[in-house]
Amino acid sequence: MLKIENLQARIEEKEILKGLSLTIGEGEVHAIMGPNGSGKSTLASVLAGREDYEVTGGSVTFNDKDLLDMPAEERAREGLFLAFQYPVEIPGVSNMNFLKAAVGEIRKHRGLEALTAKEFLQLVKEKSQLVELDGQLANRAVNEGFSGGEKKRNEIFQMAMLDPSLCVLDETDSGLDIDALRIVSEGVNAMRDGKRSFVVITHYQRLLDHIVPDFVHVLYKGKIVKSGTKELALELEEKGYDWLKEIEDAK
Amino acid sequence: MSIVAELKPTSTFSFKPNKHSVSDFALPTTRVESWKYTRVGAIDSNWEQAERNESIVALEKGIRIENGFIALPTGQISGVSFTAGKNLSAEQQGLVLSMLAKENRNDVFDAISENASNDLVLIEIQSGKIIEDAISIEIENALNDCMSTPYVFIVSKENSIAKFTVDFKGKTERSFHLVQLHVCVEQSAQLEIHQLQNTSKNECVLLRESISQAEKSVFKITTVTASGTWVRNELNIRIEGQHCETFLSGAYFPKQDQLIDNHTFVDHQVANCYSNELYKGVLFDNGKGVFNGKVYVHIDAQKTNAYQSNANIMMSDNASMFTKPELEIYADDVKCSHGSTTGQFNEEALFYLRARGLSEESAKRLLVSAFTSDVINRISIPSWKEYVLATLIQNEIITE
Repeated sequence: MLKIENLQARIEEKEILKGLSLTIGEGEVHAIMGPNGSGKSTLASVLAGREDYEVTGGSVTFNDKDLLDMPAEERAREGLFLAFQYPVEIPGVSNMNFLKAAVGEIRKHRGLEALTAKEFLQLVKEKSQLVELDGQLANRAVNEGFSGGEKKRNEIFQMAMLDPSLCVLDETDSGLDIDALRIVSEGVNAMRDGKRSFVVITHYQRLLDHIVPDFVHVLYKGKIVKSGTKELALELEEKGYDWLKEIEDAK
Repeated sequence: MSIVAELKPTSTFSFKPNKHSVSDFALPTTRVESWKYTRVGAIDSNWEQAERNESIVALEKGIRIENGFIALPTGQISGVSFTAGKNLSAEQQGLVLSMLAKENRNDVFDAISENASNDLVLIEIQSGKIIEDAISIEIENALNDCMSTPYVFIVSKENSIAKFTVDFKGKTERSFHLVQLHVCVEQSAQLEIHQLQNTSKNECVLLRESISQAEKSVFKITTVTASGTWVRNELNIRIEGQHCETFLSGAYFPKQDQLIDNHTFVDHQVANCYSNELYKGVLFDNGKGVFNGKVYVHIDAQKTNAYQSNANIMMSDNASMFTKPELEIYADDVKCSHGSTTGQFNEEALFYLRARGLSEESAKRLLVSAFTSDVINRISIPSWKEYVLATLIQNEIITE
């Protein structure tokens, strides 16, 4: 599904990713953990195609295609979805119009017929229930005046609408209260179907109580320094990141 | 003075209110404050005057102005009368002259209008009448290299309600519209004018609008400039009676080498009035925009509430925008605000939309339509709003 090899990236003059390698198979859930500034969000941005970052080395193949060669919109059409850490408020653009355009583009790219207005509304109804998103929110401008929790639920709602094959969740748990965390996680879990893959980026272990990963990786100074199973997340929760930092810094 | 080799009035009535001669004036240069950012070069040319054409295809529920000549509606609109210049009664002539007397810019263009005037129409909304359907005014030049100089007068009589649409269409390779619109909104009347300017690539427009509002009247105007090589709209609104409401809005989208200039003047002469001004621009390619919004609050105009906003997005490094809010306030108990912003697209929003599969182009158009939606939403006639949006889609400014 996704193969990242020796990925190096920088923003302005600052090297952030320094040779990151990771392979994600179909249907797998990988958690990426790590201390602040380790490069977690950079990884999400580079995968999604944010142009502020410059890839200076390495490769990323997504379903056998060169991901880094595609503009952001093509990555989305190919089936990559980034749930933003800070979803943008876009006054004046209605959630519905925007989603209709996005679903249209993606279906066209995949060779699927355009949805009728009725089918689209049916899909909206079905998917918004997944994250208990109020129908009113769907009709408002994109994220405008949404609470933190509503924004994140809107991300997962959009993810469900666009039916991606690889979902990258960038600190989706940040700023969520317990209830919102449960709703968002249940939404994500409902989308686990054995084929769709997930990269769950988080600082804390608590999200992983809800979205149970197959693999856990620790990112530090732009590299994956340790990989394991979900038990690794528990260990990190208990011991913090310092012991890993010490080992790495000693190298 | 080469703008017209030799002017000849083509109207069939005698009409020279200010007795100006074109040769009394020179074309304004950029040294004149109100023309500082707008060069008249594009309109300084030997324009021709069209011959009167009696076979203009008239509209049923509105007027059509072709090459400056006016065809009155073929149908009747209950509560509205249309009178051609040659048929004005003495009383109507007096009315027209009194409206003109309120506005004397004393410059070459008013002199040209006066000396070359093709045609005139007086539209009167009878008092107490509510006109359900919008009355359309269609303006088009059909002759290459012509200059058209029509006058339109609208009088909304006491307690009437009416809406107009003004459609500047483009047809010629090159021509010049010099249009004068004079409006009087009488006591407790409500009038709306919704304008679209979509002239062809080499058509120039100078639109001079003078509005006066009597007590308790409401006036709303929207001007969307979708295209035009050289467009200058001068909108002067005099608020002469208390408890008036005034809404003026515009959206403009200069592309290529187009110039779109909006000069507005809201003259608060008396107390207790509200005005709200919102102009937004999106500038492409080498497009140039000018906004000059003057709000004048006279010493007696206490409790005035005047709001003005102008916001612009630059879509290209080569586009330019000149914006100048101009507030002169002589009363001491007023609420006036103005704001002006000119900036780039929100790159975060653009990336967000692209990350959902929208192409850069359609994401940009979606953001343009979002940016200008508050102006477009002031168009209260649904069919006209659709028409305006369809024009913007056709001009590849916004997306469906």
